Amino acid sequence: MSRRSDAADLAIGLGVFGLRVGGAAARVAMVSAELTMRVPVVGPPLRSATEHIAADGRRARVEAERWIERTASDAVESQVAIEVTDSVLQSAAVQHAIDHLAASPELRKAITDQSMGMAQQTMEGVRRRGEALDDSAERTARRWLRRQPPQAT
Amino acid sequence: MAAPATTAGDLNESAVATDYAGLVTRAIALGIDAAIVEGSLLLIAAMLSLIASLVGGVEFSNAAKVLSAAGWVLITAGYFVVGWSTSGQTLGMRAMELSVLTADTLLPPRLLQSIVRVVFLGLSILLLFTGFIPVLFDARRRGAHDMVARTVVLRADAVP
Repeated sequence: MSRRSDAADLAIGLGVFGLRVGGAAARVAMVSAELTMRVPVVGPPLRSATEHIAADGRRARVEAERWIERTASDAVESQVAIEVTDSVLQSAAVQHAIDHLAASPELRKAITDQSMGMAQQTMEGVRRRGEALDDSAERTARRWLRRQPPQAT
Repeated sequence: MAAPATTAGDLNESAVATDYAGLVTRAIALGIDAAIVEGSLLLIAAMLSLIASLVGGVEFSNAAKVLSAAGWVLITAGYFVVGWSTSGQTLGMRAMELSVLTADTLLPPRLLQSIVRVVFLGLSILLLFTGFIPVLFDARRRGAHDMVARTVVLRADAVP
């Protein structure tokens, strides 16, 4: 193994170690903070301060989500985005990919299987309803002529 | 679901009525067959007519018109006869999972039987479908054409 990759691995390992230590420290800090909040005199003002900070965090998150949504919407609707999409769709690479997919036997088989499945399901439904109507028509006709109904299974 | 019939002897007058195909199922199968055969014939006729109009038009004599109509009827009848006498099914019956079989042997009808059946089926239709009324009352759900040709129409899951 080269010296450069060893140094990179060491740096990554140190980073992971630091994150683990930080995580453990945060867990210890949370436990001590929870214990502090239960102390009679110091607890209530500390809880109030924590809730205030959490409310600020919630507001910031909602505003960030709105900003991301607005920015994404503007980007999608912009003329540049439309032109980029058009040029990508007309590019030789995309055309090649479409040709490749259209000629793919797996894709054709999948489409055929799906179509056959739908046709079979439709026919199954028609058969079931037809059989129910068979019995119903027969019962009605026999009732009119006061004849015995067909034998049940 | 009907209990599967096992032998020809089981499918007599006292057999389970629901093993036999009823009026609606048979009507749907007949409708599918009619759509297939008449649709194909109409398509062929339209193409021939288009070709004829492109080459300057063809005038049919009365005899040619009668022969064309007879050919039309023969092809339609042939479709049913071939289907019944080879596998006991037309395409519409296959879609509805029905089989027409000889009543006593439960085998597909012979050629002559199929011809008799198709002639009486045609008559049943011409007489405003009255030939199908017995299907509602007969224990084996037979139409007039079934009675004359000694056939029954069974659901595929009841065929032994």
